[in-house]
Amino acid sequence: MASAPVPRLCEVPVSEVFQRLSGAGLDLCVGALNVRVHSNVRSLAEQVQAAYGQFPARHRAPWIDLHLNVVLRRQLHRWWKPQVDLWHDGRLLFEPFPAEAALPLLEWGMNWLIARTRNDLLLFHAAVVERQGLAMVMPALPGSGKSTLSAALGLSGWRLMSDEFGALDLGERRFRAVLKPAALKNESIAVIRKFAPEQARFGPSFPGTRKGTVAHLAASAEAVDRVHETAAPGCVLLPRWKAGSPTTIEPVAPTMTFSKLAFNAFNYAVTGAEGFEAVAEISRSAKAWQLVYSDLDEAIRVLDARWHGLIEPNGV
Amino acid sequence: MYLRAPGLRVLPLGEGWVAYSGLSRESHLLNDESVAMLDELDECQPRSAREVAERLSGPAGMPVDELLAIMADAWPSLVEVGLVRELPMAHAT
Repeated sequence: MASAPVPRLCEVPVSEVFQRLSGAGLDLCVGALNVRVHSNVRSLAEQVQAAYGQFPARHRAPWIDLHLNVVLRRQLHRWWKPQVDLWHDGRLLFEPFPAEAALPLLEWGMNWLIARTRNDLLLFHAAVVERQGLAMVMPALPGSGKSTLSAALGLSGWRLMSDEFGALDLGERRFRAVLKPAALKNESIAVIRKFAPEQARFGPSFPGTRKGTVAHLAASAEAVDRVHETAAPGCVLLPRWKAGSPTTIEPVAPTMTFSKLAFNAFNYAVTGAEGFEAVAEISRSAKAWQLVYSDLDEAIRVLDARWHGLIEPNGV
Repeated sequence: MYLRAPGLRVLPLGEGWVAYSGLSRESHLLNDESVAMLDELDECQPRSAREVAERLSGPAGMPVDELLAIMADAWPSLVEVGLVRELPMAHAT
């Protein structure tokens, strides 16, 4: 007898999501790590359900890397200005957020903890998409358009592995997914809604954050289902959005690739010689490219058409 | 007198070189001249700038004094970033 399909978060009542959050916890396997979220904030259940809609609803992870608890703050003015705290392993992190912004607090805290704790992986500040088993790594500073580009690629047949962490397993020299909702900001939200109006599933918008308006794009069902699949380094892409620019792709020297990777890594210094050798190997064996674009649709078409030329013939 | 820093790793990369310092745990992009200097140093046996210049003079096809002048600017940088250790008597070349 065939087993029943595992329900996704978007397929169960929000009351069940809240029941898990407020009870045994909601387990989210994002690839390289498992996160258990607890919360007594009802609105967070809806937000998580939207942003993590394709993740399994009733998954129990065999181990948990991060225990997080988003808690409605107890204070006298709780009823007219509710705030939430984020706790990790019994430790309070950060200043409280407004209760309605519980999801941005959870996401921000989760990213902060991943960057600080996963030193078994070399964590590039990079988006990663996969095709044919090869990773296209996009290390870039905030504002370069990497999240927008990776989101669009993820909606165009590429598998999004992460919009924030290029997580390289130093032993296997392969990238692991850190698949979370893509936090798009300001104009990028409308750009992606317009790019894929039928496919793009967003959580609520959060105006007035430190980075302006933020909305979380849910990962696709395929990306979630393949979250444990790793990818060999295929190529490095340095994206730069420039108003009015035609789409151009130019090769980048290996020394520049090394700089971009090493200096855009969260924990490069921590990983020491091992990290150095891994970055040098990727820089030597994977081709690197500078992409300048202004038209997102055209950029995606160009990357699709030139994919085989972008990667090394034998991978890395 | 100079020593190669412990844990130093130097790898060729494209047209240049990358180096990792076990002292500072930092990485640096290097040119050919700096790598040549590092190659002539040892982790345990200190060498003076003149000794390094003498060892490089033949392969480089340049007079020792000219090499000494070229290297003079590079030594402080290599020491500062942790790729080379300078011993107290280093100023006597």
